[in-house]
Amino acid sequence: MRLELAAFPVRDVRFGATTRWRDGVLEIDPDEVLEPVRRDPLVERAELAVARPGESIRIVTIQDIIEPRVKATGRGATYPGIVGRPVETVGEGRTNRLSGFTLMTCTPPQDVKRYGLLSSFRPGTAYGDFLDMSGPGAISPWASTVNLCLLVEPVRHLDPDPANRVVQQATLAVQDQLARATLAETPAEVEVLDLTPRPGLPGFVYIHSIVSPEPIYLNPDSTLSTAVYGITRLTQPWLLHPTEVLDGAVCGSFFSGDFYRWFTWPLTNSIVLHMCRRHGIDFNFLGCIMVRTMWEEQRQKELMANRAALMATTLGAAGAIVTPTLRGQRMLDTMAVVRACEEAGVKTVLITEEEDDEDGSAPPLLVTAPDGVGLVSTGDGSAPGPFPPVQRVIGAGPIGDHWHAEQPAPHGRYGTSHLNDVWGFSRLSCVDY
Amino acid sequence: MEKPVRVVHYLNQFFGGIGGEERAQTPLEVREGPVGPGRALQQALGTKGTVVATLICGDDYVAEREEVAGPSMRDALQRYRPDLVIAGPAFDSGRYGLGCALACRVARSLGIPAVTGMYPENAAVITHRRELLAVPTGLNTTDMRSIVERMTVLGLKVVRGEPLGPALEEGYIPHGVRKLVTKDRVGYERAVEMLLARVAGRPFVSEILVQQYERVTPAPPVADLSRATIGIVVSTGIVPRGNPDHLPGARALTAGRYSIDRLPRLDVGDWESAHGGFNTKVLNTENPDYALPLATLRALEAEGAIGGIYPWIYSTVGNQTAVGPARKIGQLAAAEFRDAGVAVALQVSG
Amino acid sequence: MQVQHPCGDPKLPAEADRDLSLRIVRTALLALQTAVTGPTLFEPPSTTAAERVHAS
Repeated sequence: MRLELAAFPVRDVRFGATTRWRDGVLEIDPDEVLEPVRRDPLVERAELAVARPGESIRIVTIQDIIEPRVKATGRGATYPGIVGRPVETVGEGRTNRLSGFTLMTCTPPQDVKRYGLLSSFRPGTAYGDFLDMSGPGAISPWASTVNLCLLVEPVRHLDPDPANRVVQQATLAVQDQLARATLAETPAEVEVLDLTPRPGLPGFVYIHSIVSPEPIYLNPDSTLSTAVYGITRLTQPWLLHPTEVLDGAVCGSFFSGDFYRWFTWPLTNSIVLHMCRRHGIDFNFLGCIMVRTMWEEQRQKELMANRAALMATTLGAAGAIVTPTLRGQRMLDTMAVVRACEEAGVKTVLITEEEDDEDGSAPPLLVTAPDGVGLVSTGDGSAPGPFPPVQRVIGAGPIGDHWHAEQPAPHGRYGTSHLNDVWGFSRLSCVDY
Repeated sequence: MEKPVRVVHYLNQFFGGIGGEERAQTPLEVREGPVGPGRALQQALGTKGTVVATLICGDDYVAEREEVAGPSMRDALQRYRPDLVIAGPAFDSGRYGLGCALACRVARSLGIPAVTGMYPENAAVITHRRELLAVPTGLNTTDMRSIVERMTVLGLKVVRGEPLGPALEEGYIPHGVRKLVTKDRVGYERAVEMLLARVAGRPFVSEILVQQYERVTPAPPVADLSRATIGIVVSTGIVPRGNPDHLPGARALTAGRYSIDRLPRLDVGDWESAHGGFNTKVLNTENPDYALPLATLRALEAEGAIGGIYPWIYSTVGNQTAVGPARKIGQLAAAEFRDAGVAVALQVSG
Repeated sequence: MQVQHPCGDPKLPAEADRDLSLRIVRTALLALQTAVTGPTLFEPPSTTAAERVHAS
């Protein structure tokens, strides 16, 4: 498949009387853009706010981060399948993107006690659920993008799943309008991603693990995690063409019980894009294999791993880059995939966060990697700090004053993580001393 | 010019010129000035330092009689007051490695910096990793000169009080401590480069090398369970309903201690699971016994398969629990069980 | 056996469920009486000894 990615870079955002992109400036009519969101009777409040690189801003209650994209030509719609969008196969033709820009949706955290779950996460722990736009805490890739924050508050009586659906609907309504503003304009740059194999190069696949919310929320249709064409249930691996991933075929954030992990932007903007760009130069990019994690029996984990390895060998892969989603028991599933690939003769490199080493008294990985596997560390979830006070805090719902104050250095202890970087989009890592 | 650094060198009986395996029982001897590889050491030091003395000890003696060899080394070091101790290199010799490690540890206890050199899988590295500053060596003793030079560079740096950078950059065997750094390139670029190297059969360095998992010696089997009292420990988060101790759903630091005295089973009206890492609906609406099989244990107690059930359980949540707190919880339960004469512990993991 | 109910299976009829729980716990007791040198996996038998006798 062949996809043209047409870039419309955004240097700044202005609120105005119309919504259009011109010469790097995205003008937004907030009333127009929010109209379909506010029309939803399940939305209590919806607002927009802008956070630019270098501003003294901290963004909290982030639900997901998404780069607005729209199909200019070719089948289907971007971010397909979720909240009733078409499931037509994407990945061909031309996709317009607002580059250097994100739509950051913020919403109050869901209350999983409504599902009878005792999510009594230890109070007082600093979680990595904030982003700084300036200062020493500005270490995320989104500190250098212009971010439009969509603050959505669903009506209060909703259960977590329907509430999350309302938020996803709002996000896509806004993203569609913003991305469509490029349709009549000329892109600054067009990247042609033609993944026809070139003879003589080794074949690589990318295998990504996605946690399924099905066994957590006992709901096969739960929206509280990353979807493949809208599907989140605990299924056997999916084979996707890399350009489908760039069109958002795998999207949605994971709700871990007390905060969201933002997974949409990293899927469209980091490793898959990089591998597409290196295709035909260093290797042939043969495909993306999406494996579900959160299996509850050993034999199920093994079956999933075997299916993924068979897909890789059937495609003729010599190598695979594997990424997990979350640590804990999900890591067992991911490592089973690595092991199955190695046994099938597919050489793997695993990109992963590592466990806090507790000053040298704990091993860096929960489970041993097979001999010879290449490991790339994206750090232990911690970040250098403290993060100084900020002038402005952007977030949805009641936001505590404490967010204006200095934040302690986020630590990676007990499975917490500041960036949740399993894709390697940051430069953080750990080394031996 | 700076005052030359005073160096004491440690060698085994073989490199110290006393003899081979037949002299491995030789107690600690002290010689003035450099001996054997010490001459290469003196050359590497040049005008920056002087090998003032060499300590030589038999491999068997030092490995088997640490309690005598250690104090002898201490006396010698106190007599010569060196600024730096260099030990070995020991290559892959386990007993020589232990001797070098002992010399380094004694030096450290006196506040004297110490550097050794050995094969990274030498038993002494595995045992004393945290305390050793060791240059990695191969198995081949013909590399002596370059290894001694690397030990010297590292030693002089430590004597000057300069902080050491990452193990790979400075050329020492990792202590097993990981530190956060910012790399030049993002992770996925490094991953693609690494995979290209792997597939092409080119050398590459994995970013996570040391994987130390603690080895626990298994307890001996129980001879007669019908006379044994069983203690119960769970990480499935079983707590009295209402979670009186506020056991968290993840990242627990402590465990609850609850009485199951004379209870035939865990009743769903009285017990629940506080675990936040899996769906607890079955446990919390049907039967918490699935996570602490008390009814089954009572049946086995009644038929005499086990002697009895200890009336207190320990319960924590095994969800993203750090190793340190988990170890403390285990030690707490083990101490109580041991004092109460509980012979065996049954754990249900969650 | 699943993460959600490690010592039994609520989908089984009550008697079979009790039997499964017994097999699991008996396997744990067997492990306690067995000398091991490192991590060792003990699999609960798929049927009880009594059932196996009936079947043969």
